[in-house]
Amino acid sequence: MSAPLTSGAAQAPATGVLARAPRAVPTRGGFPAALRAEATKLTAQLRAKLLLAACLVVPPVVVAGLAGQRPPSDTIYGRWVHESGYADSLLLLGFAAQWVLPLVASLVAGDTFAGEEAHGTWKTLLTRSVSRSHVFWAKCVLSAVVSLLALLLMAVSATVAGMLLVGTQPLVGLSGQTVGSTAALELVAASWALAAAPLLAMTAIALLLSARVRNPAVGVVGPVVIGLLMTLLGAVGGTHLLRRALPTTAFESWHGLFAAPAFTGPVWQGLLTCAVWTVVCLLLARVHLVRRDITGG
Amino acid sequence: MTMITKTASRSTAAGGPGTGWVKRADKATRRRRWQGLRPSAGAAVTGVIVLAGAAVLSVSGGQDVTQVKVQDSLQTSFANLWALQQTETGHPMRPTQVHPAATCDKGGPDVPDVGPGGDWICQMTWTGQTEPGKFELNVHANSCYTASGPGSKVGSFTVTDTDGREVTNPVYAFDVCMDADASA
Repeated sequence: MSAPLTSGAAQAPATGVLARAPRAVPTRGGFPAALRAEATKLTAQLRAKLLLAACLVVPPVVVAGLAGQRPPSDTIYGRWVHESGYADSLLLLGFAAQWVLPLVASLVAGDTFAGEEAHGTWKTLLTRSVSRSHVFWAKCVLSAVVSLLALLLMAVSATVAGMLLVGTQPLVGLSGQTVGSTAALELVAASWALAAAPLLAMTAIALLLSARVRNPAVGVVGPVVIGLLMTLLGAVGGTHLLRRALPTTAFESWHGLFAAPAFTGPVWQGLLTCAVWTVVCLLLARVHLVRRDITGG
Repeated sequence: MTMITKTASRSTAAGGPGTGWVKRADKATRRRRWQGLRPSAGAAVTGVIVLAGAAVLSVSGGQDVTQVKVQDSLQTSFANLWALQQTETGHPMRPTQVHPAATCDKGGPDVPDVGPGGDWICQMTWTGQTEPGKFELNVHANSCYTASGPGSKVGSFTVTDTDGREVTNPVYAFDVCMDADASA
């Protein structure tokens, strides 16, 4: 009996009291409700706003600062920062990959579960008509959105700052070849886009730490330390496949795009590695969160 | 406010201090007991597995950095950059006219010529340079390297271009990335 009523309500949503009931259900519970609640909390968070603002403001300041100095020659593309604005963008990408992007990944994600712990708000949160799983995925999705948004802002800000303050001259590639202005812009965009995969992997690591350690400070600083250690491990010679199994290695997969002939092996390896890290960390975090005893604590 | 109260009371009525609660607490206690038995043992096993996996990975796979790859990439890159520098300073040249020939060695005769390190030395000749110039390479684990050319043969940090501007000398020092997956 209820089936025709529901379908009728769906077809004609404005037919009175009966019609309102089925439409009201999804707004009260489940994943969308959890997502909305988490989004509200996130938009009220000062640190999330500061993060996004910094991603927008800092790159132009750095590019402007580089203009008056002897080029930094110890990082790839450092030598070319006065010759092409694209080099500035790539220098910032290379620099950000060391610890800035892990910090971007952990600033919100590292706090998201541990923060509930610190404020003692788990019980309040779980008395709402949403499951732990809904809360978990809502927090994961929003952490990923913040990370990707920060990366996008940083990429656009760095690239536009380079193009406006230094110029759109052709770029020297990593095989010494000259890359035309348009091709360089496309490759720069692709390079920043490739950083999304390791960034999401670092976000997943931060989420796992946040869920397990239950301390916001550890959740935020931990991934930065882990990122630095992984970068260090990847920089040690003779680690062969171990190097490729680290998510931080994927932050450098763009190098191949600027070689002639270009090679994309590291790109695919990086995507695969990061996907595995992301899935494993999220599953571990979910298992831990769903099974842990919150009510008794 | 009313919505919150309603939802809270409903969830209490449905799954509050009934059987579900007891079951969950039971499960938690059992788990705590299991964890309490050997908290360090679990962590130790995980640690050993991770370390063993890392050790296996770190000895698997071929060499990313080889002598042939270093020589080939140095020749290609130098030809491109030398042609660029010559063209910038008013002597138009194509990369195919440079004809570089490099011989690279890592850490002297007693060290195998594979792997990253700051002790790669390449002797290279090219069009107009019959006496080999010494290039010092710092090869990183990511298969990229920084090559520093001999100042007497390639010029200093900047060169003066045809418009009289001081521009970065492309061959004074340059970054090259090799394909770690390529054979040879």
